[in-house]
Amino acid sequence: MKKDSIAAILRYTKGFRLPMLLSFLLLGCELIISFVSPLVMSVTIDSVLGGAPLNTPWYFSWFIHAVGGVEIIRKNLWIMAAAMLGLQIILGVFRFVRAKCNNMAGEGVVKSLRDRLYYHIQRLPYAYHANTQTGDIIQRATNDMDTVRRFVSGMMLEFVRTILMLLVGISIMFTLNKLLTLITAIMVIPVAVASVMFHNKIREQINEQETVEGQLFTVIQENLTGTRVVRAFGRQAFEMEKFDEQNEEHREKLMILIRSFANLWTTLDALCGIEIAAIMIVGIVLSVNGKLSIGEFTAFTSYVYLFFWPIRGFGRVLNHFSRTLVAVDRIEEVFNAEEEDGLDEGLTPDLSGDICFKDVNFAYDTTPVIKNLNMTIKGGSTVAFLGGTGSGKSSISLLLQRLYDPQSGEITIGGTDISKIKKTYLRSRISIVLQEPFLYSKTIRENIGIKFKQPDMEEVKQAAKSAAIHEDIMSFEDGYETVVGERGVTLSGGQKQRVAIARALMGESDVLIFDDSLSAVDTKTDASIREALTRHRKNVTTIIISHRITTLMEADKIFVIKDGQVVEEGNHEELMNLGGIYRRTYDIQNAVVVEGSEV
Amino acid sequence: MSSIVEKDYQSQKIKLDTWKVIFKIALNYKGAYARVLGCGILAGIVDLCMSFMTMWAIDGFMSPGTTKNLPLYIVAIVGLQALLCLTTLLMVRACGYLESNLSSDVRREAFYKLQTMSFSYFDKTAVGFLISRLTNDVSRIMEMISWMGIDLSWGTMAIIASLIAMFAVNLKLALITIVCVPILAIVSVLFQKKILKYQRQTRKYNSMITSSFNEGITGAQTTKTLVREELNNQDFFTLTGNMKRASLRAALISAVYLPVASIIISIAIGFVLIQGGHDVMKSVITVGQLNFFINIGNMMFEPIRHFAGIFAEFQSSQAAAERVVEVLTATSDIVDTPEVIEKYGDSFNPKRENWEPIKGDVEFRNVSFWYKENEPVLKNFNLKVKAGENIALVGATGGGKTTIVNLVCRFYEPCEGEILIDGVNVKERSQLWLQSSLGYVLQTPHLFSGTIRENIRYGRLDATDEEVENAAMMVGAHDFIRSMEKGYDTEAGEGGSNMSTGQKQLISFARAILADPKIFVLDEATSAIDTESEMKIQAAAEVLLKNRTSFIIAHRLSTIRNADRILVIDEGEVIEEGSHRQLMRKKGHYYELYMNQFRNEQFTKSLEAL
Repeated sequence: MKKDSIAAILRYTKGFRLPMLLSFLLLGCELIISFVSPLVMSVTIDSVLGGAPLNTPWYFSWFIHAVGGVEIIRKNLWIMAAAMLGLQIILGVFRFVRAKCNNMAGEGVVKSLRDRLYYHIQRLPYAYHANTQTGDIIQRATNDMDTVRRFVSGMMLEFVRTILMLLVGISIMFTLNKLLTLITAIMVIPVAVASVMFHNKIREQINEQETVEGQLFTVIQENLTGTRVVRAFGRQAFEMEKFDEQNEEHREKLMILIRSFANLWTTLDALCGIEIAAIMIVGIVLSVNGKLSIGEFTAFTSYVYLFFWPIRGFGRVLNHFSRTLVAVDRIEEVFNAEEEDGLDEGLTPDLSGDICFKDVNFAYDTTPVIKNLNMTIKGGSTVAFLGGTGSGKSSISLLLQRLYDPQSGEITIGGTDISKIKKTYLRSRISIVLQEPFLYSKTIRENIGIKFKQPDMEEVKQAAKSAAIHEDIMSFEDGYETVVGERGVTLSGGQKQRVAIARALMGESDVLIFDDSLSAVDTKTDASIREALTRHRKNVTTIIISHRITTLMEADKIFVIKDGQVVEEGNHEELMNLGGIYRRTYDIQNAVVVEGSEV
Repeated sequence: MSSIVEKDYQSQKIKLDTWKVIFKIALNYKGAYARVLGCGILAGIVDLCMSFMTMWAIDGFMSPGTTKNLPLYIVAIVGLQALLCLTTLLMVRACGYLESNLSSDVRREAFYKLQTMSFSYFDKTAVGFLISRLTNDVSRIMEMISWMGIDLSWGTMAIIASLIAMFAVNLKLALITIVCVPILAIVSVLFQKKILKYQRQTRKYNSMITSSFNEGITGAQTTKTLVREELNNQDFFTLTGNMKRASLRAALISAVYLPVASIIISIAIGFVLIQGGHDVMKSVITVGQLNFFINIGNMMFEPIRHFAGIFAEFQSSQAAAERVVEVLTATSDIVDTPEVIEKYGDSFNPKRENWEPIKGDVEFRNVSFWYKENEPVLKNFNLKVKAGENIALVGATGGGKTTIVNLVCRFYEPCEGEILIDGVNVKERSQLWLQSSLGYVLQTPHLFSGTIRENIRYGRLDATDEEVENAAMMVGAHDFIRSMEKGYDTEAGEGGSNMSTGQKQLISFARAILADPKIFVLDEATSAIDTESEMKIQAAAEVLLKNRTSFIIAHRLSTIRNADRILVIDEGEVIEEGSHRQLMRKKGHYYELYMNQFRNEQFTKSLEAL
């Protein structure tokens, strides 16, 4: 698993490897400059001011000879000042370019990974979405993704920096003084170990603290959403007690957590302190014995800080790395789910013809829903399905859009087997209004015109009028620009359905399906919508699924579905005369008025 | 947890009034702040001493080439490092103490405040917003003001001590170094503001991406039926593109800031080097002193950067601080008078021994009520209800039914007129006196997390298990509770069991009956539930209503029929009143309403027959 995850991370970097490598390279240069610049001071102190013979790395000696030797510099001290400034400017440029490369690569990887995941999720089959806990995929797409993001766009560089710094730092220090380098290098080990150990423990404590915090927030949330209950029972004192209990626990957990941080930082400070003291003391002794110059000593004192800061954070980086591996694993699981096939290729025939079901059988898992269904829906006609819950009437529309495929049998439209038709084409020509419509958190205008990139406002209004939602929309303060959903206005169930109906009416379609979508609107509105449909409909096959007889009775043909089969079919008159289920349902629904008036 | 974020107030200015409230609370922990301050000052001094130690090493040992006094040096350096460790330990601990205590205290105060607020307050402020104020906003502000003590005290000290030391060592070099301080400060503030701005922008985009994923996943099925995959992708790609651009910009600004600051410092150091170098050659100063000045330039930069950071933080936290302070300083519309509290106690310390028992007579006397002036909901409303009477309120939504029961509960107070319970104006008794004799069952039952037993016991905290089960039995909830795997110990809250709304409703009935209220308010659910639960709830309601004054916002026919008196409410007035029989004979508004209801019920029945 670990190996796979690392391989996956490497795969994610594809397309961004060049800027990424470049940024690592520049980081290396940066580190070299940071370690070299203290040498400017060191040379100045020793040779320029102190008159000691040059004892510097070759590139330094070369620089000094190039400007004319120590004597010239002594008279023109600004050369050293300029060299120092020059190094800082070069360092600044490197840093900027490195940050640019690194962030372009990091953010690019994240963007492409996010885009790919989103795209993939969109293309997963209907069944996947129906069978998977939405919360779980959302977690993976957001939280796990965020862990990966932080790693790729920050932690990864820290990781590389630490390693490069050990290499660069130690080799430059080594040219100056072996003993001091050894002392510095050895101290890296306890610092790294302490950092890693503490971070593992702290991670646990963070989890604990977050759990308690979650509980505290739940108490607050429940109290505030249930204010009426609290007041009606006069339970303020009790609630306060409950809150106090959680609040105290949280106080304690937070304190414990920060204490651990205090211990960690103190330990690291102590280790750094030992290091500094050791460098100073050993430095003095070496210098007095003529084995270390003053300039070299000042350089080493700068190195200690340069060296230890990144190593202090190593535990955090390592910890994050192991969490990233887990996150990658969880994201890969989503990627491994297979996408729907036939989305983009297949036939694109005319779909206004007859719809035929031939011996169709369909089951979710093992529960059969549709059994040997045979029926023909005449192209351009209006048909209706009447059936109880679980009769299979809704599955018919899912099969028509090929959101599911039947286990056996054949569905044809105008003689073409729909399994040969391009799925996106099929779905775009068949408009369906689901029972519980989902609206996007966009404006109402955008929601109605959702099938189009830039919907025509006139058409949107027309669709809204047909769906009898125009008046409602105009009553909102922002009219068609009202944002719905999470961040906006909450629509009632009936309003949502009517927006969904308007959405389905936008654009051209050959087949229109209303899956129980007229049930949340009242009888009058229902009638006016149907009336508008008849007016606008030209050669569109309309399928209405409902259990309200008044909604169905005007259809050209009515199918009564029971246990996945057609048990009665015909128009209203015929079915009334038949005296079966349809008749019974009609009687109960209409008996109302007669019985009601007798009460 | 809800992740709603309130729109930030547009003002970005730091308002002192807001922070005064917060600092006042912080001052309860003077001791801890004193410790932080002390440690910060100490740390600043130790830092400076370390610069002196390097100077001493060079001038005292290396230049003269002697190890005399080395033991003293060792003691000093070990001592200083130990001191530094100690200050870190104490300082971080003190800050932790501050953060955990301050956030708990403020949260407690805000929570307490909200327990005493009247309902008008909750109407004005969405619950989701209040929750995020008590959670995220409090965490953020308190973290900031707990830890800023370190930066402030250490930074101030570091700067002051460095200044003094520099002037003591060499005046000319000190002046050269100081010139860069104001420049650095200005540059830092400008950059920090920008950096924070872009960081917030990326956070905003990040949360937009999260909700996009949310939508893309929960709406996946709809997306398929609409063939919107391609357009969704485009929208999403645009968003991730914006995110990429914003975070790139944030990173680049940081990447410019540090080098620019370093270059400014380098320029100053360069001048120090030129001037100081000549002085060394003329033996005016020592090598160690020169080195000291060069180090100190770098040392002063850190505190300046932190100051700029604190300033930017304050500015960007202004809105969050305002929101928290708003809760802390809010005042309730409904307050018991001091005399009432004197006699009956308040909501947290009731004096039950002084409470008169409630009979249950309710009277509205010339009551007018409005949420907004000029839009009266009730006008000169009069109603007399005898103890034990069952009143059904029917009528269109927005007619004032809910307002009437809210007034009975004293969730609101009349704008004009008075409400009398047992012949006494409610304002002459405490809120708790009335509300603890009240039973209230909502349209959508609200249960707390915890077991079913605990939820029922909410009605009467000292009820025994047996009494709890008896209450459940009385409302017919006992059987289904027992049939669950864990029985009464089943988790009831969100994410707990999969109880149906009907079952939750029964539990809330059991909770109400355990409280044995004298006045009972029931807001019936509009949506149809299955017939079986419907019958159970009906039976439960009957048990509850017996011998209690009750107000029911009624939707169910059976409830309406059984009421002693039916009030048809429209636009804040009683337009029809009487028993079911009387009103049906009249064939007026009630008749219409009833028939409509009847049709709906019949329709539901026909579905079950299918």
